[in-house]
Amino acid sequence: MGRRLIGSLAPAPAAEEGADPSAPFLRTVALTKRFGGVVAVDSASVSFERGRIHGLVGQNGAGKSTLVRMIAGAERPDSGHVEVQGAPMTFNSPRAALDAGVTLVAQELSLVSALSVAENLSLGQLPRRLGFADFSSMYRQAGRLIGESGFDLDPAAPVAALSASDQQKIEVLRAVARKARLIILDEPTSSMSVDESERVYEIARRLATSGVAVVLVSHYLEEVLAVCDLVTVMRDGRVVDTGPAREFTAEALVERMVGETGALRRRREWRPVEASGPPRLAARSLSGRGFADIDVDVHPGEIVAIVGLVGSGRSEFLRAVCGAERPSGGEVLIDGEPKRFGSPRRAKEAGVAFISESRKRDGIFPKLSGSVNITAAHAREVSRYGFVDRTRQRRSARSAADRVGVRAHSLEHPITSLSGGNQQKALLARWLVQPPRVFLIDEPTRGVDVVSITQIHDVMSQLAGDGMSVLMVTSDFEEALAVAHRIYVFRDGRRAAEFAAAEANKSLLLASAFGTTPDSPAPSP
Amino acid sequence: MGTALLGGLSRYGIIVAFCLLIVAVAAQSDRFLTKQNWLNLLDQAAPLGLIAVGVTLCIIAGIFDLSTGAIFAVAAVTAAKVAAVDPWLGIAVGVGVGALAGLLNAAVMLATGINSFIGTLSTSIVFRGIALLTTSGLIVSVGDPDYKILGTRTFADAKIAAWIFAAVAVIGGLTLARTTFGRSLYAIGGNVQAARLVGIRVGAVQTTAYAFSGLCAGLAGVLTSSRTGSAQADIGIGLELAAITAVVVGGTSIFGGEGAVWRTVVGVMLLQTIGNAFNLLGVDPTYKQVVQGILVLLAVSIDHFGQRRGARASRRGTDD
Repeated sequence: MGRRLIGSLAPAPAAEEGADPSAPFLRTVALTKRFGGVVAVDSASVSFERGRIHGLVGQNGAGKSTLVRMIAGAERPDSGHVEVQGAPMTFNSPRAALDAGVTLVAQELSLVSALSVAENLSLGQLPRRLGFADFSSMYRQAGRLIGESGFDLDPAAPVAALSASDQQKIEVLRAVARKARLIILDEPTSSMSVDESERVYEIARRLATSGVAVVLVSHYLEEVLAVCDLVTVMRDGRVVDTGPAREFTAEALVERMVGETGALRRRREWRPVEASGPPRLAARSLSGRGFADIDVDVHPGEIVAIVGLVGSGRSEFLRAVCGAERPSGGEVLIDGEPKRFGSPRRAKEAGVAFISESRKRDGIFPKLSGSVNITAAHAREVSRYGFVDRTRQRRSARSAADRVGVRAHSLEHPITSLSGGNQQKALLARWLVQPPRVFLIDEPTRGVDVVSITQIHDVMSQLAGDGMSVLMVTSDFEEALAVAHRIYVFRDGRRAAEFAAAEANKSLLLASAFGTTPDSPAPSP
Repeated sequence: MGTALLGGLSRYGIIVAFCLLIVAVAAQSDRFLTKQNWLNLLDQAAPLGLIAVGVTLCIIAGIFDLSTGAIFAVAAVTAAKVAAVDPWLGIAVGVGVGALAGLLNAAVMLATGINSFIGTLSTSIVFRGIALLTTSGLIVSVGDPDYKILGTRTFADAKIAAWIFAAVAVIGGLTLARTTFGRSLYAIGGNVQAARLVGIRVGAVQTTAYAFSGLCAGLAGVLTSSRTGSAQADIGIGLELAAITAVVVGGTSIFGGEGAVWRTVVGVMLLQTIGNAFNLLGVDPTYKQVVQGILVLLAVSIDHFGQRRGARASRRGTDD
């Protein structure tokens, strides 16, 4: 593919005054962070050296993002600290980290969408002349920066009009413009094409050559191995291995990443599902924003997973099925009958429930109690003549919560007093006050502790066992393999492949999601 | 601990403040704690209180209704106009016009998707314009003495206006706290996306809130006009902001999703009592606004503090 790693790295520039020249640029010492009862990062110690690209890999929820957020001052550690060139530092804010030369290019973008590309690049350091903004030199500087990067960006374009990947490029360039000495790229290429990713990696190489310490957090193992000098593997919040990239293979990394948790994710034993008769839920040539021409079937008693990369149209499809978004074409059938869900309410009335991927954005009611949150979709069942029957509300909430194992000493406090895992279980419970016939779940276990993951999977299996149809979207291929009967792979808004879970494995799914192999399932040997 | 104290203050501070005020004023003036003074206070508070109850439901659902002052005027002048035919018909039409104006607000907001703040600001100008058109800028007087019954007659010692305020506050409070409709208001104000996904009819619930707010403002306008037996187009200017002030001072969150009608009632009475205290103690009334303004600032900063605490708690719960 592109250019190989530059043979010799530039010599480290002279160290600053008072700094220990032999120390790595930045070192974390036993950093630990808990969220509620979940240990996100457990005593992590890593060193990042100038002139090196350092890969950081692990499964979803392994603690990579939390670790880099602590390094960049966006999150405060519960214990442990950071050393910059041997000197212990406390970053109480991203500003403090920036002043020490540490920049995080986060997964969530932080651009001002009403401003132009050039303005975003110079945000906070706008060139001035006589106290007025000097726009011509701002555009000149931005143009030079973009030119050097090889990106195809118009400095005058408003950011709002750009694609997600173009916006990501601006984020990367902004870190370059700030002259950071440690740049953390958190999943910089997850929304980019292969070609665009290669450009980002080239920038990373150039930064390293100029003496910057680069940290690359990524799920793309082959790319990490090709680009990085060193790789650190995290699992369950702990650093489990660090070494030169050339000593690892992708398979070895996966092995380290999975570790013993693989045992927790063992496949469930499935009774074969009766696939006779019409499917409970069917999508026929369903199209909409972000996906096109999708056919999907889910039979009673079946758990079906949709996997794919971020931006493959998985979530958009699910939202269109449940009426949260209007499809532009095709149809949804329940028991063979065409349905048009103008709103989630209509879907609910037809026995279709939906849990979105973001608990915070459109899941919980943060100020309301656990009971009210759980019974929110079934107000009629816990009221009489329009008046809420509080006893009934409490009882219904409690029994639904018990069914999914919500751990809370009281459901009468605001739901935000519960941990992430218990909030997610409460959202599951919300639809079990009166179980639906079709359950659509986007990312059932995102940001959830290991115990809750198992509980949620058990509940899903039970529900399917009772005859419910479950359709889930997940980024976690292992989860799809562990829980689902059948798996659809989405790529670029299309259904790229379909597998029976028993015949699929992670590399098949990955290959199909990336489009590196033919889409039809490989014939079993 | 400091944070616990502030948290408690954020929840029940309004009651503490109100009691302190009562004790302080009572110590200075013999006339303050008399039955007559309190009945007067309640009567004076009725129009603002009525509007504030309607506005409470709106704010909890995440809606700003800035048109209540104009609806107040439009309802008052139509009531006075129609009262020339029949006083009771005038009163009914006035209240109906208020509710209708609220429905119109809802229709505009739902059809255009404009934010309620700017939307009701615009409709308020239209409503006030209609009031002007109706009266040609003149005072409308009502000859029939029956028209003044609601505003001036007493029942069991209290003015009928005060009884109406009490009744609407109880109905509004029960609706909010006990009904599924009330719960939908909290849900929509707390997280409108989630509300839609659990199947709440967001549009219908918001429409009802707008209409209720319009109805309350209409009722307030009619009562005020009934007191004097007249109405004109420029009454009630600034009343919409006074109502929001009372709601926020009471401790209902300006960000929506939490609050209560009893809080609003206390907020209204607190503001009214401050005015009363200035009268009784003979303090220069020009200071009244300064004191009220500082009070609002205090209330909002306590709310803001609570918000930040809440945000932190929810971040802890949902971070990946």
